[in-house]
Amino acid sequence: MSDPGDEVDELPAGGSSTRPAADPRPGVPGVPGASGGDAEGVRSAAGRPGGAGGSVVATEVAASASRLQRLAADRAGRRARRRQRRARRMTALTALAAAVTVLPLVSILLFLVVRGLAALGPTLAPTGSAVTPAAGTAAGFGGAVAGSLVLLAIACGLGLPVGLGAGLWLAERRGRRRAALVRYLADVLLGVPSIVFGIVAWQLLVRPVGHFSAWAGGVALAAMIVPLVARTADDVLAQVPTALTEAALALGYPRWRTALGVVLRAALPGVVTGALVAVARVAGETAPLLFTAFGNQFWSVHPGRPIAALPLRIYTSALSGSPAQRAQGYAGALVLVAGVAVFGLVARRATRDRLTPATRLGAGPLTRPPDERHGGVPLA
Amino acid sequence: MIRFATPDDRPPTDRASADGASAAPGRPHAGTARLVAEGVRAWFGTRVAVDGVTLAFADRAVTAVIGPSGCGKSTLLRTLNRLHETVPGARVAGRVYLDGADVYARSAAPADHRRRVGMVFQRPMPFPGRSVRDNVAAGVLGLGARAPRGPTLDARIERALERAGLWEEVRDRLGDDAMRLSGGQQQRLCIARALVHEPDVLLLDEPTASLDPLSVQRIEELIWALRAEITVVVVTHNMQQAARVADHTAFLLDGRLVEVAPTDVLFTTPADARTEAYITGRFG
Repeated sequence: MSDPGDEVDELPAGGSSTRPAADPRPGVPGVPGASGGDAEGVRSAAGRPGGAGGSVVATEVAASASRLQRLAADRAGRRARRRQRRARRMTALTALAAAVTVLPLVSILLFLVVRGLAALGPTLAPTGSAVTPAAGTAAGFGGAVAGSLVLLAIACGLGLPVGLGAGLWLAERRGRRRAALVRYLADVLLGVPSIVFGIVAWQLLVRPVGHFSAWAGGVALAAMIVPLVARTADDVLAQVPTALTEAALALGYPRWRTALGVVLRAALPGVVTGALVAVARVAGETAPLLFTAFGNQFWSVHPGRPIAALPLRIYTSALSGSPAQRAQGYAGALVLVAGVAVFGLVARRATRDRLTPATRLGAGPLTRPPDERHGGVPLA
Repeated sequence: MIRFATPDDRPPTDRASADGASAAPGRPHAGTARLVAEGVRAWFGTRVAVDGVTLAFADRAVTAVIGPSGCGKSTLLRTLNRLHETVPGARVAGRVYLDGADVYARSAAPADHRRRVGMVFQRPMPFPGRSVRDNVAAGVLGLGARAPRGPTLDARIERALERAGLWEEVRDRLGDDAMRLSGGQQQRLCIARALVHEPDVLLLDEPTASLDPLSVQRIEELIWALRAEITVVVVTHNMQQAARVADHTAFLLDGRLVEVAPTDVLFTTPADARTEAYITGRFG
């Protein structure tokens, strides 16, 4: 029943020799073609009409047989059409589901473009000198963009290596009990609400120090990145065939070089995608930053001081009573979404180029040193 | 190809002992064994895969290891380059000597040993996303900073590809993705990759099982040529192949060595009834 288009609506009226070829599934029980086969059986048992010695009885039997055959063919055609209609309906439903999936993104983007673009012009400039904005106006959020970049840099610097290392460890220790435990705990960590990360960072890094800082915010975000990267890396590395690992080991690769130079390399596109998803996700996090990075009205990129962040700025702008502030919130959200999208596209393009071998890798002459390209760790 | 055995009238000898090294006539260097397995046992968890195999692999000769599926022939091969122990839960006992040195000695480094013992697997497994050239170069990259580079590396790549019988076909497409080669070419590329270390031993684990007949023939010719220089061990479930390429053939059953003999002897007048049953197709 795979393809309704295969169905024959009309059985050919010709001789029995063409029938089996026309019927895609002769003799399959429950398939209309089977009953057609019965009718044909009757006819061939009765002999061919008009042949030498053909009797009246034989002709009548043949006639009723062909009637039966036509009935069966009608029924088969109806069923086929019904199947086709149903297939079309289901395809339409799945297409609808796909449309609903992208609808929020499209509407959010449109909304942000319409509302944010207007506010973007006057506010994009990093006007955040140490001046409190005059009533009715708003300071630019250049400081928030810079702050977010600082926070993400801290989060990536701490979170990506740890997450990647944990993922490699999980993949190497696959099948052992301790690895299963760590994998489970990482999954639990994935489900922890993001504000909890903020509380932990506050307890560990804000309270003892006595003031909010970019460090605390960055660490909270890094703690969110780690399980995301570790689990995706683990999953992707598990897809690399054991045979590839063994091929490298058999060549005298040390274990670590096998893991980094061969296995991780083969899984790199997936690992990078996982890291991108993780970074994009924490880029928009507000909750862990509320009482760690805290936000800053003034221009500051000092990691030891409270720092502004785009999500925080959007949050405070949205709560503000001033229309100018709210408009600025939309602009900030537009910048955030666009930034995440552009970041994703650029990184994806970069990894794809690295992994399209025919165009990049080894296309040069024999004398090019190969270790430039794959001697070391592929991911910075 | 195979002359089938008639009941043996020779006195039954214990040919299962380490006499795989019996000299092959006509070739002066053939015979002395550089690679010797002694009482090798291998486990997967609690299951015994190889149950005490003692076997000497003649130098500059091809030794085929045959036997039914699951008889432990691949596992035996993998104990020879210490690859078996990389499987979780796997364990090895016994000794393997290469040039008289115990490769399982505590001071022996598995990676160093594996560079002297190249291995080719059943499925061609080029490193994905690398060019033909880089795949061969990858053979020595395990050396890290000690890896040769520049003209030295180029020369070694060319020599390895020549020995693998692939140079003429790929010399103009060294930069192409290795995955664009045909299956048989990929397998020869893997052989070249294993040869770039100039190993003393080459282990082949059913190297032609996934290839078309023409590629099989090329690989077999290659095995035949390589045997002039190094010790070659081929695991195969294809008895015709063993008969075609091997100087010596060892028959394994249930993890034990049943018999090892010069190939023509084993296939014409096997000493053991089980060998005879196997090569005449009564089981396996």
